[in-house]
Amino acid sequence: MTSLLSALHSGQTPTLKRPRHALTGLCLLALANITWAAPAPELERQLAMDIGHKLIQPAYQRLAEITDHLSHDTEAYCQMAGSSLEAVQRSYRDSLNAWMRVQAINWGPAEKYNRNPSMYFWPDKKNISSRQLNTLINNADPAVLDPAAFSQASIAVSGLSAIERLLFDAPPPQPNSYRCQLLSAISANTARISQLLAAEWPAYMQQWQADSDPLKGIRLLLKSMDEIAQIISQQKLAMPMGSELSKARISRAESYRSASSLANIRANWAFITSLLQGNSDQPGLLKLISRENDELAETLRGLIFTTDHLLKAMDFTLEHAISDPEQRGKLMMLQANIDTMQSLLSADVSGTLGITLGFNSRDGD
Amino acid sequence: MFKPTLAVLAAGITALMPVHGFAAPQANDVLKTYADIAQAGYEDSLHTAQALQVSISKLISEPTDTNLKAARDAWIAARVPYQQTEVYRFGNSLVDDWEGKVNAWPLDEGLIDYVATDSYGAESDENPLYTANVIANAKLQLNGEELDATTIDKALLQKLHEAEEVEANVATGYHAIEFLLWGQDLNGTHPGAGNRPATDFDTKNCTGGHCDRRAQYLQAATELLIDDLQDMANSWKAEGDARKALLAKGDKDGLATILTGMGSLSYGELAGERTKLGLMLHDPEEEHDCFSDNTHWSHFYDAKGIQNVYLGEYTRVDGNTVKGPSLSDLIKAADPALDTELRGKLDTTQNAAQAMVDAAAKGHTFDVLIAANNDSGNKLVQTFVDGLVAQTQSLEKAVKIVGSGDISIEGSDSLDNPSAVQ
Repeated sequence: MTSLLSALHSGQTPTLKRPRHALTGLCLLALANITWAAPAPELERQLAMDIGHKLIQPAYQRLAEITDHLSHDTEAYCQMAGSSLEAVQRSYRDSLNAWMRVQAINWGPAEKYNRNPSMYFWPDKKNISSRQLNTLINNADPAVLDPAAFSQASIAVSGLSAIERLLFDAPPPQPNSYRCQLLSAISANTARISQLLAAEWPAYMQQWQADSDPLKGIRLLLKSMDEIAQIISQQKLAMPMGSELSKARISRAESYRSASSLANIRANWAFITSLLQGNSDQPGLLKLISRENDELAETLRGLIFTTDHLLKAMDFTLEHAISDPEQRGKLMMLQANIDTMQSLLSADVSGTLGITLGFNSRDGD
Repeated sequence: MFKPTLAVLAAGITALMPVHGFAAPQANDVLKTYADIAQAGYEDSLHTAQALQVSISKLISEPTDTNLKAARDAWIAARVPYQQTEVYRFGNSLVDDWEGKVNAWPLDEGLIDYVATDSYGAESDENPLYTANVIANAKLQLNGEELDATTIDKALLQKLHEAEEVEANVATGYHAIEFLLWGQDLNGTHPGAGNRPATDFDTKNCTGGHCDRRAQYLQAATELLIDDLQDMANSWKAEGDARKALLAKGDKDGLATILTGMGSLSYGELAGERTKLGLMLHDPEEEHDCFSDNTHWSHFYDAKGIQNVYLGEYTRVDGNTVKGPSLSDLIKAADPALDTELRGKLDTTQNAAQAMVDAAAKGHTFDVLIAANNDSGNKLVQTFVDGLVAQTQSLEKAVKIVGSGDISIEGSDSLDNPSAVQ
């Protein structure tokens, strides 16, 4: 997982960071002074709730379905009941992709019981996942496999990032082994968390309806978009790329074992753009933005268009591209676009909508 | 096509308007107090590091248990003023750019010295130098080239620091010294800290191998720490770069710098990375002072530093006090209820930190508290996190007040006419 913000309340994540940007707070301060007329706040409340119901709820639903497949495939494979390692690996990639569509949401149901960081823990600066998984496998304690035991488990051995290690590191898990049982238990835990996220989301949306702050929903959405843009640029791209070609390192890519790191970024980006653009049934935040500042809305549309185009032309994996001079150039362009998006969201969009984003877990360090 | 939005900041205020009858200080005087506390804090950090150096010299000339204990005590004492300066890191770019040299964390200690590979492991996704062990190896492969490490001196440590662009390659600063004084804590989530024997520095009865090189390393790292602290202490003097950079920001952005430092340390850094992450991983490696098990005090003084800059008051190592007009005074003049709220929240956090200190005195150090299934320990740590999160929310209100007209406003294009800078 990564940097998750609100996370810090009684059930959530912190983050791993390090790019040293200390300017965010200053920026906030300056913008807090802006007093131009905000759009009627009840419209913002309604739009945020509609986005929650029509754009986010289906993404959670899909995550719940796909991780359920993963859990069944894993169990069948480990019990030699009709699946293959390749099929489980495919299910894994699908599950990871579905997660990355909603990874940026680290509040609401995803904040409870550390659910968000439990789904994917990264970057792992101290190699803790490997150490903890090895300890579990060496101890081979059946009690660890009990679904209830996961409420006390480390986030490094609870979700998709742990599954990826077990599924793709050599040697592959052998059916009927403890390693496979552990894999199966973690897959079931991932499916369980996903089902809870999908099930609890509608009730959470009702809290926005009742909240005294009509801007709460929009603020949370914007914070998530801003923060995931920072994470894409500063961690998911910058860490494996290094400062120059000779410093590129595959093992610092988020999901290098399954070669999914670029697919993760695509899904994270799709989260940002879907919330801005909406779909044929549901308008996104651009509707509000264009009413206040049409020029800004046009800028955002242009940026989404060029970035989508850039991503479409990337017919390679991140793991390969970081060490290829030409493809690396494309990744740098992508990074620049993401940085621009982040800057627009944190300053221009929040200012236009009259929202103060506040401190987040990526401030500072 | 995209305009630099951070330029929004330039602002200049001179007079602050008391709106509730309480006479507010000048914003500029508040900044001066803030800078004075920084200067005193870094000077105290320098002096306590010099005392540490004396203890370390004694340890190396006479590697006895008593001298090792004295050096460890000196390290713990040196942390007291330094941790209280951490609130200056965020917001002051000069400090932030410098900080990694003295307090980088977490570290892959296998870069420096021998480690117990059964628990530590032999390799890491992140770090090709995970077990490079420079004390045992006079030649290293670094960034694809051979590095001559025959002599361990300050220049060598600077080359090793963050080598291969991996932040966990921490070759310098407090935590490198901590590792050399304590060694790895192999007690997991059970009580007990690192237990390096004094004979690891004894060239006549050497344990752990390469005792001469280990002593060289420890001395070089300590010299470098002193050099770096001297630089930062100078930087906050009257004509120092950090003080000048702060004052050049103007009143409003200067106040924003104070709040940025308080909020960023409270939330993302201390509550998040240094505390909650350990709680979620239940892993003894995830504690700030993992070799010495001094994390409770480090957290306590980090939080104390946040309170210091708000109240405009710092108690020096020698017992003297640095005190002056404060951000608290300013907020109180604009919104007395918010000032009361913030003071209360900062106190609550201090109490939560004190509870961790008290637990540590009974053997329940941070690594014990975060263990899986230690419900009461986990709760104690979570209470500290909750305190920091709560104070961050109050700080966000203070940001709004400083940014709005309630404290003071002198016009500036960038603030009054935002479309001009969009």
